[in-house]
Amino acid sequence: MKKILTANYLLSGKVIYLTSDKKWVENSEDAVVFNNQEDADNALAFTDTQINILQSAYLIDVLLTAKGVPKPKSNQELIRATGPTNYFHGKQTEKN
Amino acid sequence: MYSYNDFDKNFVRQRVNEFRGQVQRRIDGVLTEEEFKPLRLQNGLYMQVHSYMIRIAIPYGTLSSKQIRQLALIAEKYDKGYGHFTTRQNIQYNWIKLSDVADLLDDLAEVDMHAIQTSGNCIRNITSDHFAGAAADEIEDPRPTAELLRQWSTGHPEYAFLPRKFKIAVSGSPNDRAAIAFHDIGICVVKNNNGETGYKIYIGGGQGRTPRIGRMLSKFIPKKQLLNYLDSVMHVYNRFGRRDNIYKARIKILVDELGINETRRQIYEHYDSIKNEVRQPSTDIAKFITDEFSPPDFSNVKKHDLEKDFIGSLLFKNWAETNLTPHRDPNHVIVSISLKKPGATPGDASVKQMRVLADLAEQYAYDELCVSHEQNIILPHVPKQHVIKIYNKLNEVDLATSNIGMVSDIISCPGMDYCKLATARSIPIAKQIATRFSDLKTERDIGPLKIKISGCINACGHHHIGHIGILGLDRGGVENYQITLGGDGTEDAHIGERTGPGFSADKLIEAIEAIINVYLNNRKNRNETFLNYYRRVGLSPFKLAIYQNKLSK
Ligand code: SF4
Repeated sequence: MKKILTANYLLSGKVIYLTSDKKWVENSEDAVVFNNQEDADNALAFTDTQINILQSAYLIDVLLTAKGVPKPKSNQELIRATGPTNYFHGKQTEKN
Repeated sequence: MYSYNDFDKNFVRQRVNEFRGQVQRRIDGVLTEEEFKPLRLQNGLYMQVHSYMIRIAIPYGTLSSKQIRQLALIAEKYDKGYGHFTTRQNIQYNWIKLSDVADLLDDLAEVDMHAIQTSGNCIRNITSDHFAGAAADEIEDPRPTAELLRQWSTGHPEYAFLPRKFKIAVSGSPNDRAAIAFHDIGICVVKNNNGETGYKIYIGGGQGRTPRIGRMLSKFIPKKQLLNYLDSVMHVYNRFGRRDNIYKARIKILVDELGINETRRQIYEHYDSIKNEVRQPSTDIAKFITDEFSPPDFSNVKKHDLEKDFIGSLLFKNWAETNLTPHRDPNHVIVSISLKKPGATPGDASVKQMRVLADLAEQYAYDELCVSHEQNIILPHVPKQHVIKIYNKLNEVDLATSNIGMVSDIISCPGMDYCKLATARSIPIAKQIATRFSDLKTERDIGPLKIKISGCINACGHHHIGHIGILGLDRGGVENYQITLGGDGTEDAHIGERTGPGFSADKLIEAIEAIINVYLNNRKNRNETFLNYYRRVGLSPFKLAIYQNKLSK
């Protein structure tokens, strides 16, 4: 399995992802990838300490690109990680 | 137009203040998300795909120029410069911050608006005919009734915890433009043999995963008994409506399970026990509400020959052909403004466009606008002499598309681009189809054709009642689109029939083209519309064309 952890910032509503040093970032490519359920569950448990800065947190399935960068598997999570396809809005405007 | 009295104003202000406090308690960590969620939903605030989304109620779709100007300001201050008008005659903003919501709601309250009853298991914002008050075929303006129901349902303790959401639509005309047969309760103003005005009531209509045409509950309910009658319907729903399974909790399922006769019997048992109670709005209140909707004085408008304005402006003439509807006063017309420029997102309006709409309503159209459930904007009362000025101004902001009721006037829900419940995208499909058929000659040749697209089984894009309906699904991680044909949301209500297996996004466009070609090549003549042709021949020729086509590619 390959999973990353996502949530939304409580105040701004922005989509965020957990990194290996337990920080929250807006780019899914920088997220830490969990290869086993135990690590994933531990990360999810960690979000209980974050409820004052987060909206609901959950794990999503990812694929790894050739360079090992995580890419959400589902269409919905891809759109969430990139932005809508009808306007150049959201995360796609912030990525290089 | 109805304007808020002090009671309404205080109610909305208090609600905003209360919510401001609740937001603060959430931010301070006093409330958990679990505790906060029902509170935010009661104020129209959802967590959606990219951020918070807020849905704002526009009762029966009616707006003043001041209100739409404020909606523009909200789009500018708190969102990305646009708003999305929905099939429930509401507006949604997709990029909202929690920290802004209370201020946003305060800005709304300033113009007598709010986001109450746009979510949850309550009686939702009441919808109506977008030509209300202006249509030539109207028995009576449906909005005083809709407003009465708004006042009755808002904050009503019995209706705050229903088995499921509850949608009511009111039409004042025998020609149904409000899809009343597809609501939990559909109300139609009628006259009885004695010439008295009352209501015909339908129950248990709806779309979603179990589409149903509303069943006739009563042919005539006297006007003054409406609230007693609806109280009785709600009583039976609250008492017997299922709460064990959300897919079976809508009143349509209760009507399925009890049968219409038993449902009616239950309702009348309650109704007979209360109908002599004075549980009615006083005559004063009813009159007050009706007076609030008195039409503008049309008598000062001079006769004007629109045809003269067509000379030398073919584009204006084309637009007038599709976007104007006769008004009940011969010197006025109803102007429909399309939010469906091919290639644009159906139902979206930019800040600039909303401001132009406000100006036009203010300068030329008695300060009144209406959002249609087909995601367009209506100027209900326009003196004929002003139509060309309005057209020219609309043209400057990309709002002069002449396609009302045509192929490119597509209803589309937000789909996967914005909606968490989606199984597929719908906006790109709408854009592609509209662009493909948008050249004027093709579109005019095809004639009236309603295409409606939903991004999941919930059917917010009304695909069940599209002449061509499209439903986006997920098939093993790939978007797949099912087609239905022959749906109709008017008084001649029909649920579309599925053609068969779905199509991938690119094959879908070919299939739609094949369907339209079957019609064009086989219709009796140009007067036989797509829908009439379909009713004559049924699914078979279309199936043959699209599945052959699919196999051969
Ligand atoms: S039909 Fe489905 S995808 Fe479309 S807005 Fe409704 S819930 Fe969302």
